Amino acid sequence: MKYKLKFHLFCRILLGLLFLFCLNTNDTISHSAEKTLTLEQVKAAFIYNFSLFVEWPSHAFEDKHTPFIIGILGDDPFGESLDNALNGKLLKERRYQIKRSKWISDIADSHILYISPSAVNDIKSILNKISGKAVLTIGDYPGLASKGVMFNFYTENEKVRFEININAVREARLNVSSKLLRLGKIIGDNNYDKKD
Amino acid sequence: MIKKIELVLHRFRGLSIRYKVPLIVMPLGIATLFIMFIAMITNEWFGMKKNIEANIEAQAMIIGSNTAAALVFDDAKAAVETLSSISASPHIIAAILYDKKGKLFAEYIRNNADRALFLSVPGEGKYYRGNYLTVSQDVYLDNKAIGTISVTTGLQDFYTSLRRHIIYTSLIMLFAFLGIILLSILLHRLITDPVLKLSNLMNIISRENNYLLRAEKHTDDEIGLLVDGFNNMLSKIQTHEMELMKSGHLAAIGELAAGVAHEINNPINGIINYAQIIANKSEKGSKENEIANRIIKEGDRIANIVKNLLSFSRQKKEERLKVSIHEIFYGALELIERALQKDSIIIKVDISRELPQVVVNPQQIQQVFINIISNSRYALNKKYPQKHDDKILEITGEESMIDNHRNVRISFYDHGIGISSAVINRVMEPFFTTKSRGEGTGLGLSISQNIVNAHNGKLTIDSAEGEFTKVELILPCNNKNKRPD
Repeated sequence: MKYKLKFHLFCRILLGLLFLFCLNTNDTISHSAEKTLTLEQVKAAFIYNFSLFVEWPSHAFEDKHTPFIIGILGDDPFGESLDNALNGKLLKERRYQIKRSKWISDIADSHILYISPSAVNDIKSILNKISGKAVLTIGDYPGLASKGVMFNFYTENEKVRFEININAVREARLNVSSKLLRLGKIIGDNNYDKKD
Repeated sequence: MIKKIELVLHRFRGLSIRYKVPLIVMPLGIATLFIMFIAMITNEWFGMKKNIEANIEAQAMIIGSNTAAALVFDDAKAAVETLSSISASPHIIAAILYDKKGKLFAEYIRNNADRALFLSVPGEGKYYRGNYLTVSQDVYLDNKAIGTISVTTGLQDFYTSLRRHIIYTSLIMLFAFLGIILLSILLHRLITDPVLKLSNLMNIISRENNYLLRAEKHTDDEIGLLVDGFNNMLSKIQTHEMELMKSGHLAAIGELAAGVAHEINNPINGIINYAQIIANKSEKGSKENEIANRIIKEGDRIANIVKNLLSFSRQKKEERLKVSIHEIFYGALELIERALQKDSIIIKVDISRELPQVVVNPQQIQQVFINIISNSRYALNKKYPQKHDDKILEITGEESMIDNHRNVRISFYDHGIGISSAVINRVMEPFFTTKSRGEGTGLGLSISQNIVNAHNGKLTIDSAEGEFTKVELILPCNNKNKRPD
């Protein structure tokens, strides 16, 4: 009984300390984390995480060792942060490979295609070039999702969020986890017109 | 301690077994039930606990997996939505998600719950705190821990159902306990009934002096032993009684015979002498001569009977002589012949003078012969009250070898009423008799058996009811002097 009481007290103290600690971290560490993590770094991490919640059809790869290619079309805003996010990581048995180019034809074999804001003007022709391929397109410019880009970053309360064009995803036969769908803002649904 | 037990036992001494049995059985029963009760409740407790833990672990795992995306995409709102879905499980009070640094990421806490209670980041594991169980599990994505989910459930329902279980179990135990009481009350009969029966029998025996009665043995336990011992004691008393009666009988017969013989011997001598005078004086072949000779002959017979009677009554138990079986037999027959003739029993005797001699106590063997012949006479008279062609007693003697030892075998074969197979095994028992009271003592064959056994002989009886009885007596020729029992 005495032992139990002591244990209880110990728990309480621990609890209180942890609580304080939590409050503390909320105030300081999280702020500093947001300060240290730039939007680009967060987006780079998101791109990596997308690869974990999306399934590509098997014909998208030659064999099980074929690298997973992330293409960056246009100016690269990430610098080293994307390389850092992918550093040493494997998707099952695949290495990640980053290709950067100004021309869509160079990187049409990507599995994830990040369309930089600098390449937005050609969006229709870009999408045409890869139509029918299992490429997850990621935009970073307002209104891109409604133009047929599958995932499109936007910022809300200083937090990175994303829209999902669900029809575009379906057309590309990509299987996006419902866990991911729940997080994004769904755009278009059945209203999306392919020929638009 | 021991003194105390003795004191308690002493207090119980006067108690009827009727109460002793429940007093013994009930504490045992209660102890057993109590142990069972503890075992059942413990089992239930651990089983239910395991169930709840498994259930909460599963929930934590599901929620953890469902919030993994929200964690990595830093979407606390979505995480809260996912956590809130757990509110469908009514017992869950809190579900809290921490990121990989242990920072609170999202929480769902049911209304009215004390928030401070759940806000801690215990490592992976199960934690019981008062009325709550918290299960913490790491959340994995791509084999990497990305945070911790901690799910807390209230245990009120668990305690309620445990309490209900305890009540039900207690009720069952109560019924079992009542059953035990009832059983123990009935159980004492198992012990008391045979004991009471035995004591009743004892009362009957001491009232009627009937030592032929025997207690029935129903069980092989201690009571069975008691019954055996009791019956054994009865047999002993019976044998003792028989010995007493036998010696009393014999003493009386001896006295009587000696007196009678003396009284008869003198007049008989006179009769024989006078008849001899008549025989001498009368002309041979004349009627007087013939009658006188007959008187002499019958007189001799009387003298012989008296002599036999005298020798029979003389109880020199230890004295064994080498004698002819022929001589002993006719001595015995002489004593009983008249009675047989009176009942018109046809006696066929084939006992040769050439039979080997036996070492016996002649008086005792004579007594055996008389006993057996008397039984035959009784059986024949029962079957044929009047004269009949089949009213036969055949007595034969022959030499027989058993295991290279010479024996004399005498069989008494009568065509009387026989002995039923139901009682044939008991006819040697002392005081067993089929004759009505006053007709027989039930000692004849039993005494004969004792005598024959003392001579290393053998007495066997074969019979068919309504047909015949055959008594065989085997006496060894070279008898080592064995003391009679």
